[in-house]
Amino acid sequence: MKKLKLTAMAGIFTSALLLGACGANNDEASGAENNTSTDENMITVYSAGPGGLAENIQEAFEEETGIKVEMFQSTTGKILSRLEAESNNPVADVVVLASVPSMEGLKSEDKLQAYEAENGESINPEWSDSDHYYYGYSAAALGVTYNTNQVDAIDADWDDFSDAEWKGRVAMPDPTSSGSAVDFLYGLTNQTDGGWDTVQSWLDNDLLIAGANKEALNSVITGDKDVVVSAVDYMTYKAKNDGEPVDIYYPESGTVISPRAAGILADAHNLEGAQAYIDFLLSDTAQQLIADAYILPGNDAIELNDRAALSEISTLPLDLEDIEEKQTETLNKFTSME
Amino acid sequence: MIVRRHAPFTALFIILSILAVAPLLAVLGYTFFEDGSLSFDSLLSVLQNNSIVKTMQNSLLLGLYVIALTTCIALPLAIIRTKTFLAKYDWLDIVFTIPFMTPPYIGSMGWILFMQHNGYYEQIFQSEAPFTFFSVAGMVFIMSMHLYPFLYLMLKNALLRFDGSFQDATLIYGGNPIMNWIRTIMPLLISSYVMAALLVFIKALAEFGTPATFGKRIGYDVFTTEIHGYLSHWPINISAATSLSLILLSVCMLIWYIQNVISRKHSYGTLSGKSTNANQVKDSLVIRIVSSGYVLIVLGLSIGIPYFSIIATSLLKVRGEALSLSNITFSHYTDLFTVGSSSFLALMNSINFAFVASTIAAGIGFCAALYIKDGKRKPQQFLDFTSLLSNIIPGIVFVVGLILFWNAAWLPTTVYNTNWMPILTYIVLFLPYSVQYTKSALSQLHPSIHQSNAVFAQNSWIILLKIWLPLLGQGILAGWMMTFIISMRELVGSLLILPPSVETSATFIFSQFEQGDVSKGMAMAVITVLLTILCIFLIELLQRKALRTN
Amino acid sequence: MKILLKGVEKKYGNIQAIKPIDLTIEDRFVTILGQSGCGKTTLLKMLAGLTEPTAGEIYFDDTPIFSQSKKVNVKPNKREIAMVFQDFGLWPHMTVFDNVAFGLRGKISKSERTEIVHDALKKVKLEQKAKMKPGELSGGQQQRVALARAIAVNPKLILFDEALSALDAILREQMREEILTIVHSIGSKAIFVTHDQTEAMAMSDNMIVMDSGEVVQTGSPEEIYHSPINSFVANFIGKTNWLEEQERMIRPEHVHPYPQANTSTRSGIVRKCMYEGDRYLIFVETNGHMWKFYDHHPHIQGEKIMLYIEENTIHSLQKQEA
Repeated sequence: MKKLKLTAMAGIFTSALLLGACGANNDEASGAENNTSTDENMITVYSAGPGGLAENIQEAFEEETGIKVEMFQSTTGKILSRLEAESNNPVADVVVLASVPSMEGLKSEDKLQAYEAENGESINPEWSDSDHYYYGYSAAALGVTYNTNQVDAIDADWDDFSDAEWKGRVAMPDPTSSGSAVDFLYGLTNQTDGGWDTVQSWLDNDLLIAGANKEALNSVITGDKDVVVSAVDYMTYKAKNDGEPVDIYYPESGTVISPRAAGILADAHNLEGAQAYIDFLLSDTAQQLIADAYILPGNDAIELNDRAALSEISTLPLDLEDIEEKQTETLNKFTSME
Repeated sequence: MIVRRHAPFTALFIILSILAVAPLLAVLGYTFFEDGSLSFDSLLSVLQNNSIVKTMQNSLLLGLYVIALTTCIALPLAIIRTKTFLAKYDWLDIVFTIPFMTPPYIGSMGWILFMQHNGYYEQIFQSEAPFTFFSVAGMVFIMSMHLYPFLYLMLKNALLRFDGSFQDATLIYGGNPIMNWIRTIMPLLISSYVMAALLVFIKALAEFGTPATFGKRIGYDVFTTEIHGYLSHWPINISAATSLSLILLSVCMLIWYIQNVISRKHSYGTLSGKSTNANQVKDSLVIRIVSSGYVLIVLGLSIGIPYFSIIATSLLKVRGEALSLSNITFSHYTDLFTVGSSSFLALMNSINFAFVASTIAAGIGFCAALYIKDGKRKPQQFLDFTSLLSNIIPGIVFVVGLILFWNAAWLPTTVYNTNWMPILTYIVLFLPYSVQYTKSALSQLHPSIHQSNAVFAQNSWIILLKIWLPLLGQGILAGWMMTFIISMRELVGSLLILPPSVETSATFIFSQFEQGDVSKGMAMAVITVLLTILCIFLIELLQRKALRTN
Repeated sequence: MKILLKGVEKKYGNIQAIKPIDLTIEDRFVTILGQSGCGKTTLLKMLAGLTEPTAGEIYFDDTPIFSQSKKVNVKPNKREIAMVFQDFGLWPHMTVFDNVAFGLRGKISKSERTEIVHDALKKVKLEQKAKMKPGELSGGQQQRVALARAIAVNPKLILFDEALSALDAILREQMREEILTIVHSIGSKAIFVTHDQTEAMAMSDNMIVMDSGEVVQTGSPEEIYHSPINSFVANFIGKTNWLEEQERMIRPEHVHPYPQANTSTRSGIVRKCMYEGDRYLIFVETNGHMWKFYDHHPHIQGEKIMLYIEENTIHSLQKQEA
């Protein structure tokens, strides 16, 4: 009996501890709890990178509008997963993804709401939804990044990487981890004849499927591989600017532009704040911040920073029609290849 | 009367149910109930997927290989540390725990950076490695280098218990030393070994860091990466993830059951009264050289090389250039310690969460251990089992369940999206440590201590303050530190459950690998590990001190 | 204090550890004797309140301290008892003084406590060791500390659970005497659980013999030795010579190698001869039974011998049961 009571008492002891811990942790915990409140002056943004830029935009937005931003930064996939898991008690107001097909998916599930943004017409219409459910506020072009210490000059086109010369020297981001890599595969196989043959010949040529975009780039920076195909260009520009021995070019036969899109969620708590955020993303201030991060801004009037302009890159057309379904097929086909 | 008797059980039961059982039920529910009706569709569709067989095969094979290799590493080590002159050097055990304390994804990164084309190996030896490291063998090697300390410590402790009259009896009745070994020590060792090996197997199955970094690279998919993939890569498929989780759960439960059966059949009371450590044979020079050499090689491979890569990378100015003095900078470290920087906040978050989580876990673990005692009665066994669930169930399954459960529509309030969520996750995942440590402290006491307390103490407060806290404080504290250390580096859960605007050091490191600056990530890794080692050192100091006062 | 047990039993699941027991204990020093696993420790723990009986009632002096039907279960620390354990049960982190003083915490002021503890330690002759930790003491000293702890709380009843089993033979005998003296001096009652029949007979006013969860016989040591109720008790307590297996027996001291009055005779062959210091124990095979008797001289193995049996000391189990 004695022992039993003791255990009960030890329980009380624990709760005392717990309360103590509450006290210690109070300020942070309460801070986080505020997310779910419908505070006028606060919005929650789920943003799929890129790190640094997202924070700069957040800072500039908070300064200009006085609305506080709670930011969850992750990859496109994890954000989608979180939205799904939270569908019972949604938290986010604005979602920013690095993949238009995923945006299309959200739209088709009625998880977005339309909004005609202030600067909407200045943004490249090819990257955005014609019904204004989302805006492609920026984009990355997918090129070929190479290690300048190990490759002197290069102008190989996509199918040249199946030559024996490139055996074991090429890496590519994993389409299951990288939305832009799916965009690339989709563009390459949908718009050109024999696209899948090219991909197959790369695989036969010991192509390294190297995780997310950054990991693929890392393999070239460290000299493990010599080139990355479907490389996200702004990462390369940034690494190059930091002094790493890398550079990028865009093959002549044309490449894929992978837009990043932002939209307002259907059950946003703070609709006004969310709209202000979209407006801000499309404003010249934010567009300039985007350009400073070596990313292609949606507004092509913005001055670029040390990078190729959209007009200088030969592109494959991007067809947004049924894109989610088609890209799923592309991905499935790719993962079943050996 | 009856109600009061069951009160402590009920309280503990409710706490543990909410913490550990509810998430598992949520996984089951999500898999089998669609729109309120029972459905096996999602499980079937996952089972029909061709890749599931491959994944299962990969996971199980990986587990077997890892058991084999960790055994090869750990058994000689355990023998060396109990039978040769190296038995004296107890500080070696602290060193041996470092690989286990190293976050696996960081260790793997270290190896990748070392072995890859143009990596540190080629820079140092000016030639390519004579073998291909990027294969399943390499992955097994990396994982074994992470997990062997676990097996080693369990084997060493088992061997230590055979000293005393067991050993004397073997010396008197046995034949040559090798036959002695096979006939007496081996069978007695079996139950400890099987237990440790199966735990290693489960740990290998549940491992995420290495498959996510190294495994991805060589295209070796296992359960954890698949589940994580379904949860975090486009297109998202949560029910596929829960179905896979269930399969993984079943595999682990099966293994756990087998382990139970085996160890029940083959366990003997091996604590024999008087222990005689005095018969220390003087080792020959050959044995000295061989054993020291072996220890050095193991340490070099499990600590030296990965840490060389990690530290080197954290110091590089331009990673595309070779290692040289002119290419070294401390800027990544100074960034880390700039107050208010994201890295600094992440580190502080980690410390905060780990502190709160380990404190609460220590409290719950203490109560549970006191209640469970020797686990003779049914409710005690039940609580014991629930509190140790997360030892046999991979973390990612729990994390999936926690997300689903804490987002359930019918919950009046939820901790989801608050800082309590990671804390709760750490508590659930690491509760076994605090329970185990307190239980083992408790088991070292005479059983009649409980009865002495019952007969002589005037009230329960006196028992708590004057007996349990001083007597078990050691164990509780060790469990606390252990929980703290592991919470600090927890990755899988943190990646999925952190609220917006919050990062921990582990997710910071991982996102630096994925999106940002690898060198900065490595610098953070070095700091985290240094903190860990400091903690282990403190535990050791405390234990020494306790031994002296006893 | 009178202890009364009414239909007390203990079941673990389907296993009946203690069959229903009705028993009154009134003597000062009582031993519960039985082989290991017979339930004697369980019975003791039920008296202490450490194990809860499945059914029945226990009274101390007409006060119910446990009753299944009335839902009474007084906690161990409120039963005014003390207990001494086989493995001492001392708290390893406390000094001897603190161990002894522990039971007084919350009951008695600190200054009085010191006095009582010193008194108790004096009784067990350990005043010098008050500041030491139990781990620094020998087994015998530790058991004395446990004894001091028990008497310090001034209990009405002290329960000894195999208290001397962990000690060596000489120490054990010494402690027997000390325990008896101390228990008598403080005027408390003692129940002593043991598997050692010499210990039980030497110490107790009354013995309770248990076998497989049942009380088989109670009575003074002499009664039990001379009139065992069944063959189990006969074999368990003292040495037994069977005239007819399970039916009629005689103790070795009533069998002589030389003619005496009122004796009958039988012949046998000496099989073994063991020296016990003060006399020899001789094993003789007779009528298919192995008999034992004592003599002051050794006998040669294989020797034919005539045994003289005191007829009136033959104890018949049949008769007893009838």
